[in-house]
Amino acid sequence: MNQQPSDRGGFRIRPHVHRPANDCHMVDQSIDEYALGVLDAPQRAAIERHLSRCASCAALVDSYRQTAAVLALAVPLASPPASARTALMTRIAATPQTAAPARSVYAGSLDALRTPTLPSSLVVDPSPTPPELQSAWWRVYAAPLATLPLLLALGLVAAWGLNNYSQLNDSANALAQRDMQIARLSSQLSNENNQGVANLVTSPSTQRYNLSSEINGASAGAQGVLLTNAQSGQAALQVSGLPSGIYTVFVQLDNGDMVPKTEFVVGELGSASTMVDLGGQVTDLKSVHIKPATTMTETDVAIDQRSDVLMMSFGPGISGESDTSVQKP
Amino acid sequence: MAGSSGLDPFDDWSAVSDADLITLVTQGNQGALEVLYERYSRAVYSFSLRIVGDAQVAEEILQEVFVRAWQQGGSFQAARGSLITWLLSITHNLSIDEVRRRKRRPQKADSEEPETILASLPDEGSDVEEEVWLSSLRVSIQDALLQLPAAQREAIELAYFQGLTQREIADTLGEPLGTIKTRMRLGMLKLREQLGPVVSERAEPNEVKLS
Repeated sequence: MNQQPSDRGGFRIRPHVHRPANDCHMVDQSIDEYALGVLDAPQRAAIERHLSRCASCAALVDSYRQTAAVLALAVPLASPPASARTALMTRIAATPQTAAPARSVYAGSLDALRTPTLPSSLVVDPSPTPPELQSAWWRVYAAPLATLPLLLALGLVAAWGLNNYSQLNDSANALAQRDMQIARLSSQLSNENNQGVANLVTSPSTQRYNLSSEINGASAGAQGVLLTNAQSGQAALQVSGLPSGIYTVFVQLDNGDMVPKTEFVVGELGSASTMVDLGGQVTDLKSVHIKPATTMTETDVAIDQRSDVLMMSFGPGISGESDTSVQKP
Repeated sequence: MAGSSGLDPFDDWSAVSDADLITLVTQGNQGALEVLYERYSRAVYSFSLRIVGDAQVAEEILQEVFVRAWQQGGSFQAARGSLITWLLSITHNLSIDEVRRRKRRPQKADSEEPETILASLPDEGSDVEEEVWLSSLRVSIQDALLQLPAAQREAIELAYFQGLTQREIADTLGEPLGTIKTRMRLGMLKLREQLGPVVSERAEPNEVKLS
C-alpha cells in the first residue's frame, strides 16, 4: 500500500494521476466513513456517483466495504425468540415479491387437490429449478417413482380409494382454514388502512399536500396526495398514474437524512394508497419522495440515485397554485 | 423448518449453497427463506442487537431484513460479496437508521448497554455447520480487532457499532478531528491487511465467498 501524507492531513493511499483528482480526493477522504456506513445520504450519493465513473476508486472502496462488513461477524451470537420466525413467515405470506411473480403459499395444497391420483410426496414446487439442483430433485423423485407401479396396482383396491378420498378431504379442510386465515388478515389490514385514512380525513388538524412528478421523473402525469396529522404523527398517501411495481416512501428531514418509511404496491390500474407512520418526524420534515423500490443494493446506497416519481417539498420553496396554502406541519 | 411446509422437494437443504438458496427465494420458495433464516437469523439478530441495544427493536429489524431478502433477493450480486455480508449490510443500515432516529427522541431510562443485553440472552447454539464456520470467523475478526491499538479500535467501533461520524467521535472523545481521521484510517488499513485472508476465504459447505 502506497501511503503518503495527503495535503489535508490524512493518508493518500494511491496516486491520483489520470483521474478527476477532486472526486478521487473526496473518496480518499471519506472512504473509511463510507465503508463503515456512517456518511449521510448526500455524501453517500456523491461518492456513489463518482464510483460509477471511476473503476479504481470503486475497487478500492469495495475492498474497504468488505473489510467493514465482516466486522459484524465479530459479535457473539444470540438467538432471537422463537416467535420471531412465526411472525416473519406470517408476514412473508402476505408480502409480494419484487424480483419474481409471487407464488401462492398455498400452491402446493392446490396442486394436491388437482392431482388426487398421486401421493403427496410427488407434489413439487412448480417454479423452475437451477440445473445444478436437479440431482436433489432426483433424490425426491426416485423413491416415489419406484413405487408408482405398486401404487397403480393398489389403485384397484377399494381401500386405497377410500384412503385417498379421506386425504383429499383433509387437504380441502386445511385449505379452507388457510383461506379463512388469509381473508381475516386481509380484512384486518384493509380495515386498519381505511380506518386510518378516515381518521385523518375527519380530523380538523389534518393538512393536505399535493405531490407532483419530479421534473425529470420517469412517470410524467403521476399524481399524489399526502394527508398529514401533526398530532397523531400519521399520514396517508394516495397515488395514481404510476407504473405498476413496488415503491418506497422516503422522508427527508431538515438535517438532510433520507429515511425510508414504508413500501407500497401499485397494481395495473396505477393507483394505490398506504398509511405512513411519520411519528416524531412530522415536525422536521423537509420533503417526501416516492421512489421505485426495485434497485436496492446491499448497501442501500443506490437508493439516492433512483429518480423520484413523485415528490413534495415543505417550506418556503413551494410554488404552484395548489400548494400556496401549504405550510410545514 | 423448511420441511414442515410440505412444499419443498429437497430432503437435504444443507447441501444447497447460499447462491442457490437466494435464487430459490427470489422464485417465491418459502422453504428456502426458512432455511436462509435458519442459517443467518442469529448473526443478523445479534448484530442488530449489538447496535440498537433493544431486543424488541432488534427483532423488528431481523424481520425487516428477511422481508427485504424475500422481496428483493434479486438485487443480491454474488460478485460483490457473500450472502451473509449482504444481509448484514442491510442490518447495519436499518440499525444505524434506528439509532439515529432515537437520538432525536428521549432515551428510555432503563435502556441497557448492548453488551449487557447480549450477555444475558440465551445462546441456544445450533447444530448446523454454519455455526462452526461463523465461530471460526468470529475468532479471526476479534483477534484482528484486538491487535489494533486501543485508540484505533475505539474509533472504528464507535463508527461501526454506534453510527458516529468522525466529527461526532471527535466531539465525544474531545480529540481533534484530524486525530480521529488518522486513527480510523490506520485502523482500517491494518484490518484490511489482517482480514484479507478471511475476506477472500471460501467457506464450506455453503460455498460462501466473502470477496
